[in-house]
Amino acid sequence: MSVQQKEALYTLFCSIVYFIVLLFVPCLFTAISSEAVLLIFLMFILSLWLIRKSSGCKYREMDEMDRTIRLQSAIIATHAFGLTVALYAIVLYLLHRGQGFAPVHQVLLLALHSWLSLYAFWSASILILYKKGALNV
Amino acid sequence: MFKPEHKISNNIRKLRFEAGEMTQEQLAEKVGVTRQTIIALEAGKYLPSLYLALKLARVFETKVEDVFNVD
Repeated sequence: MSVQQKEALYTLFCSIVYFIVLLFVPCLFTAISSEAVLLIFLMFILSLWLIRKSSGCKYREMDEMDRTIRLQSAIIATHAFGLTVALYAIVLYLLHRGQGFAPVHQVLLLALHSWLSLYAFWSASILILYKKGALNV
Repeated sequence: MFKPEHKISNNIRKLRFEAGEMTQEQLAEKVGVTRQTIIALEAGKYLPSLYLALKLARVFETKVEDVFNVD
């Protein structure tokens, strides 16, 4: 398993853990505050940074296949990110169209969920492309 | 994952054995990639850049057309 695969595996696991945390936090505390969302957001970014540092994954040290897989995965993840933002925005609109505005913590949750989906799809794509193959076409 | 428009095969495995049973690790070191990349190339799961294709041909002291074939 290459360094990039290890990084992707840890990132995917981390993203899933944060998704689960986000599912359970509102159940435990009745409502999720903006500060809690921001704190989870910061913790997620810190976790990503720690994974990057501990795995020792450096773009400069990768060979061309690793770089191709990384870039192809980034394209897939960007599309998934855009789709998540669009779907979440539609859901927010349908939920709050009567009020004319969405609560701040919901907007922050949109940002956090989109960010989580970006990294989840990016890391999952890396793992899949190593298995299925990345063709330069 | 991605279906190429043209099927490109290669003779890397055959050329390795013709070059004194060169291992994947040795070839990887000579062309400056990881063994995983050589494995993917031989399995047809990765198409190399022109730069890598030329380096492979140079290692085997042959032409690129002898390393890669368009089916």
